[in-house]
Amino acid sequence: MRKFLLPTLGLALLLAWPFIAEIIGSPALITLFTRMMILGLAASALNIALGFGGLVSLGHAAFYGIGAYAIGISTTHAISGEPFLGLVSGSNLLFVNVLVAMLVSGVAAAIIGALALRTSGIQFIMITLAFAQMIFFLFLALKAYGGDDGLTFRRRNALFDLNMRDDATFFYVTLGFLLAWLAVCARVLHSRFGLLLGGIRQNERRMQAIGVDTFRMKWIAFIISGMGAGLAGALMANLGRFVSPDLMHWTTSGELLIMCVLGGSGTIIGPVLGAFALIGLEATLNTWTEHWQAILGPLLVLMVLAFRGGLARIGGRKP
Amino acid sequence: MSALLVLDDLTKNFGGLRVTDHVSLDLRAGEVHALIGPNGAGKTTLILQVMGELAPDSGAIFLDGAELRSLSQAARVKRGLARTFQVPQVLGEYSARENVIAALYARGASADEADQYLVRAAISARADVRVSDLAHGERKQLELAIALATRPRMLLLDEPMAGLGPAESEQMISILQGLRGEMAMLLVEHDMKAVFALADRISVLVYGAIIASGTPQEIQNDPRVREAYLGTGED
Repeated sequence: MRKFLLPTLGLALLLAWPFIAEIIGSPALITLFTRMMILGLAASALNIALGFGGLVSLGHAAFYGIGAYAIGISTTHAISGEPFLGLVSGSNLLFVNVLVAMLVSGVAAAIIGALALRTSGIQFIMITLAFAQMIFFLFLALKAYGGDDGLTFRRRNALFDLNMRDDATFFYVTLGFLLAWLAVCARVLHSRFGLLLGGIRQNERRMQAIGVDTFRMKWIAFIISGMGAGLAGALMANLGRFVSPDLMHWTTSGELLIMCVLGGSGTIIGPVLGAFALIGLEATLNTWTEHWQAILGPLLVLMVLAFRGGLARIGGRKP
Repeated sequence: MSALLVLDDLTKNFGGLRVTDHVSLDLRAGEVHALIGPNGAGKTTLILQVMGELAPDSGAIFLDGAELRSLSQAARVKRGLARTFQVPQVLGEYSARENVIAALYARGASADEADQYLVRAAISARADVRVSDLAHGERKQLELAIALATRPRMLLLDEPMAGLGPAESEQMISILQGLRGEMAMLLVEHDMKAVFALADRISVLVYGAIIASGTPQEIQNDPRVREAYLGTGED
């Protein structure tokens, strides 16, 4: 029972959050929490590669940004009525765009993964970083879609008859996507695939010796992970109705890694806790001093040292 | 008996050092073939080549008549090759049972089969213990259970007695005796008591080359082997 108590309380708090934010007179907190959930989803996506598969990727911001741009480009074309590349018309439907975003991010992860996974260790970290920076500069130079100014679109994508302009409605839509994604993560972790992937993380040579095609397994994990990051990017694009190359800057990849480590990589809920802790600290310290990063850095080091294994493993729990 | 695994004129060099020197061996179905030799003779290197972890410079390896050169390690395991390691390679965060289940999942089998392999390797009493908490000897037994779960036709055992005490060695010999006839085994081992208790045939590898092959009796009486490896019994 105790195992489910904290997640249930956390979910109850999230469900009530838009009402609480209104009552305390800070509706901006709804948007802040939506952002935390989206980054939690992105960190959780990275966790499939990092925590489950032991693949330290410093390039996941690329998939996150590609997902965001898929939304931006599709929505812009839907509004203008001009087909993309003169071939495909855009869409303003959230489900269509989210599927497109995940598909495009998945294809990007498949291509990058097919090359990067031929390396390991520090080489893998550097090659994923290099690919992400290549994509960052590609979008920076893409003047047709705003270049370094980014791309703004007027309204969020439509979902059924919901009023997506309303921040509380978008908060609940995001929560729905987050819960669905965490369910996917739990399914992966507890599947045959999850057991074998965990084995590869622990001892790849052992897994090869029992006949596991470890490259293929890691590649599949990397693609699922990239698709999750694309989903998060799609939601972030909708949140601000704006996409820019900054989304795929390497510092975003670094933040996602910090969220995983802080919350507990290899756990289902850890990366989400890490996102809430990191963004919450950033938002709080930001109001105290303009030199908030000087406080945040040492604080993160202390937290990682104090909560070895991450926030999700406090008291030996592994949600 | 027909040859199950055939090594045909294998050669491997590391730079200027020849670690496998025109090795040819026939391993017959169901027999235990021991490969002995001093440290650095190239025994483990030979296992690496058979499993596909290392490519030979020349020569060929056949399993049941099919050439293995172009096959990945995973494909070789699916065809019936399995190995254990001198230093146990196990999944420390999993229980012993989960380690065996991983091998079962790798060949698409059900987790329900795990217990039978743990029993065969006499490690079933420790099935639910996290592997990082197992003793060295228990890990050796677990490695055997994992290898058995792949349902090998040819099992390559890389020093299964290494690091074991006398009682543990006796137990390992007894476990391996129990597997006799079910699969062919290539036993790389320094423990001569185990070799002579288990082997049907013995080959002696020195500086990467096979210097003698034969029954345990023939090997024991071979003067080249006595000189190069077993010793003459004289001070």
